[in-house]
Amino acid sequence: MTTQQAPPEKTDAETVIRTENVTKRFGGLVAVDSVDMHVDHGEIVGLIGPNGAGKSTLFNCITGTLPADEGHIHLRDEEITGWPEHRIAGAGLGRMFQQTRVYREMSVRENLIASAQRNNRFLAQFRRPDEATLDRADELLAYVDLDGLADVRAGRMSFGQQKLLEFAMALMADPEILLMDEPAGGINPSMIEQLLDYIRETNTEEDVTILLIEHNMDFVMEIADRIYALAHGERIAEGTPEEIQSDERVLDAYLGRE
Amino acid sequence: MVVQEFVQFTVNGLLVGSLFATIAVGFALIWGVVDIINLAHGEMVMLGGYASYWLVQVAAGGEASLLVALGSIPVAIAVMYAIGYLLQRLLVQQVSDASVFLTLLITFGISIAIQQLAIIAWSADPRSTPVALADPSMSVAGIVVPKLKSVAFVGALVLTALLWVYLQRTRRGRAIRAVAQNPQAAELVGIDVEHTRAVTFGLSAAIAGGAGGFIGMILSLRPQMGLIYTLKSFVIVVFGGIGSIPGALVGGLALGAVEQLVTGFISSTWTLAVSFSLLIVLLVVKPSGLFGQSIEGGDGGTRSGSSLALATPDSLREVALLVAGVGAVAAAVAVVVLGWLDIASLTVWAAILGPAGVLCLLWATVLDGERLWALFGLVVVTLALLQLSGPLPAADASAMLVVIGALAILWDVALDRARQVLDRSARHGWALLAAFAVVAVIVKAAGLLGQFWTTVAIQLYIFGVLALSWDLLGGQTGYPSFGNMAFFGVGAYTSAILFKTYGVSLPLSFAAAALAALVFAAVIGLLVLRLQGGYFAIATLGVLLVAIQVARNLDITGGPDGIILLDVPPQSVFYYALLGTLVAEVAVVYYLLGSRFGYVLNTIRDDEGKAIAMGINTTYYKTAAWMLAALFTGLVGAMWAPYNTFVDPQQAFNTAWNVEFIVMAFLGGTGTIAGPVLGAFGLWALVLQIDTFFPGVQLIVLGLVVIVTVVQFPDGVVGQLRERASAMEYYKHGGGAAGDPASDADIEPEGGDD
Repeated sequence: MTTQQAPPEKTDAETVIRTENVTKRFGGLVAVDSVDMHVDHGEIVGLIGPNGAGKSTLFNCITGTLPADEGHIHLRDEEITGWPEHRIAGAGLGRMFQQTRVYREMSVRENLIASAQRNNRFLAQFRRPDEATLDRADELLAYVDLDGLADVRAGRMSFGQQKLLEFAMALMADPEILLMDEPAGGINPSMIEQLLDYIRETNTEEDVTILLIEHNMDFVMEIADRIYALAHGERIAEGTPEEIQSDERVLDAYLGRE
Repeated sequence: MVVQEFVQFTVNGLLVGSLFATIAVGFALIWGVVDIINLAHGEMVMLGGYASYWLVQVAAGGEASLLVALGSIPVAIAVMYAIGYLLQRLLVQQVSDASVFLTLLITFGISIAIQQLAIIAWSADPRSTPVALADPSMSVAGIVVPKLKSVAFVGALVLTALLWVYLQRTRRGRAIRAVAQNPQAAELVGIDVEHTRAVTFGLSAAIAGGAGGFIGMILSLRPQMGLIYTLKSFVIVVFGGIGSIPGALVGGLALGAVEQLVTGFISSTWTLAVSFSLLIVLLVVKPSGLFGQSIEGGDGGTRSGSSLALATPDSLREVALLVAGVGAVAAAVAVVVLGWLDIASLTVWAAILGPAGVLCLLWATVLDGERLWALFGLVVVTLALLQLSGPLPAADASAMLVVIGALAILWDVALDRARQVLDRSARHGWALLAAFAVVAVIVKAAGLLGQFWTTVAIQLYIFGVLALSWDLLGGQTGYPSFGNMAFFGVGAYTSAILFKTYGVSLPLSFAAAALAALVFAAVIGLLVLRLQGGYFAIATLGVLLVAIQVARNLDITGGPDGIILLDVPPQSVFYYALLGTLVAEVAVVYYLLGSRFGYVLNTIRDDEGKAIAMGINTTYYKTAAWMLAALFTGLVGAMWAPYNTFVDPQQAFNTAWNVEFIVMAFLGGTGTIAGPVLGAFGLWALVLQIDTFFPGVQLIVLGLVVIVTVVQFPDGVVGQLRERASAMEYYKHGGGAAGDPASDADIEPEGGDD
């Protein structure tokens, strides 16, 4: 498994994720209907749509959790359609789940060390974690304010703390692009500002491109550079937050007008 | 002619298969409603069978008329209902929200305890309920149809139909179905979930018991018959689909037919091997859609959280602590005093020890008390049992009690100290291991170990390796295998055959045997490692049972008689070889767990779906862990064969050991290194005592140990220490209280999106 890339062409290098015509069916239901989208380097892109619009399914197709029935998916200039999920993740595509998932029985620090899986190879795993990994883990722990809890079993922490840990884990994997499924979902309103800051800093300082699903409209309008709207599996709109807010089709989809 | 035989076998199979189906329906009921794979289900069949048998004996004194025999069935059903209800309420309920593995372990504990009780009560001889029929069979179009089997067939169908009507038409039946679908929602609309689950357990035991009554009439009853019926039920349910009564019926009839056909056309010795191979194939081929990991990624992480959170008010707890503590101390004092005075009056012993121990146990299990007291109580009860069989050497008894009592006090008083010791030993792992190895070699070389203690040490090393190997996959990776003895047996047979038949030197045959176990594991792993939770556990158990049958049937393995090995090296050679194996394995595991590999294994255990999403190819790592475990298990098996000078299917695939080392790993603390090894040493010492002093009941005690451990020590001894350390760390850093405004008041994550 190699993730080394040929020297990218100038134009393509800007695009981190590109989907062409991606379609996913569950029996007779077309959950994702030939969706084209792309996320460029350095962007924060929002993916919105009413319940059942196919957002999470599209996510699952991109990450390889579900095989797409049709279409192509590219990460940088490599086609990743049909790759197994772990390989796509190892190639630099990070993911945070809608429901926070950490390794509950492992300590907070162990969670981070175990998350450094970018470009991993089987034999490399028989060595001890190197200094760089340990330092990076400590750095990220300090960043999300969990350094006092480094040796605590992750499952013991509160939900909010686990969310922060999961965020640090995603960064630990050193992704080029991070897919976040409802980062603000279920979060205490007082934490939302903090989360916005974290995401922005990740985007600018860590140079991570971000694609996020969000139901909290204030949140997504505030943070996203660009937004895609889905309804019934189809892409119905694309544009800046301002454009999306005034888009007739988006309003129709949300208000249930047909 | 062949056609007629075929039809005849099929008819026989269908008649018997209806009973399998009925039993499977009960099994599926618990699985669906209580979400537990009940490994003691077969014991319900067995108990029901004996209940009916006993009733017939009392009522008729010998051969009974069909009417009397049928009359015994409802009584057996009623008895089994009560037993099932109580089992759920008293034991299974304690772990109903815990991990799959714990529920498997506790039902396994119940299973072996009941089995051994049945052996004591009714002896291991097979028997069957005699029913007098004037004309035992009738003939339909050239096919012989035994009347009794037809009656059983109809009876089985009636039982299943009654259950179906109950579930569909009654209020309680609807409640059961509601709980099966969503316990929380059921609770919200006013259903008493725990009561409903207990009723379900009762119904399941009742229908199994009813079928057991028929089995006693048409087949035979043995105390050890349970496991086979449990596994058959599993095959049928997997085949027919969980929660589908028609599916179970079809599956049961099909299984019965297949078994009769195999018996008729091949040989009855292959019947079990065929049905369990069928199970493994079915599990691998069919259910990928049933429980694919993408659907419900990590169900392993749902262990019921903090065991420190107390269900009872503090004051009540303290009173209970006082009572149990005083009782335990009084019992210890009494034992010491009585022991030194050499008063061996059994009644006095039993009168003092029994109640004290029971008190400890009750308090510990019911009120969620301190874990070590529970074990203490268990030991006291054990001693009381031992005393009933014959007086124990007073010095031994008092020493055991004093040691355990001291441990219990240490546990409570010096927790911080214990934690420091643990931390320090973790830092100095290599030094400790080296010290252990050097001491073990010196003690032996200097001749300080006599014959007896060398034997003991060899056994300890064997179990140390077995428990640690099991834990590598079960504890570290979250794949609890119930078939590790298959590797042991493969290793034992390979080295025995190479040594005896081909004259290969022992070291070479050990190496070849370890390799054989490794290859065997790789092949089996390809099939079973795709399964998760209960499916994985049962599939591995199936592998073990098939292995036993194969060894019994082949010529090269010497069939049921096995292989006798002569001209083997002296005991001391095995001492060093096994010591070396144990030290080597501890070293390997210790190194690996510190490497990234160890982290990866733990991520698979905690949330395999997440691990995959984080970029880990989990298939590689779990297969590697599984093969490593097989390598060491096979190597020990290979050494054990010449040491034992004798290999036969019963011993090489020893099913009692298979449970013992799981319990050892579990007792000491899964997911640690010290835990399994120390657990192996500790439990083995206990088993030795029981084996020596009271050979009839070791499985009962083992079952009790399992049950108490599962309920009271869900993390094992070492694991419990760690958990406490983690809890202290959390609160020390203000984790729960002031530090984070978003602690318990957090909004829980919302439901699914798409």
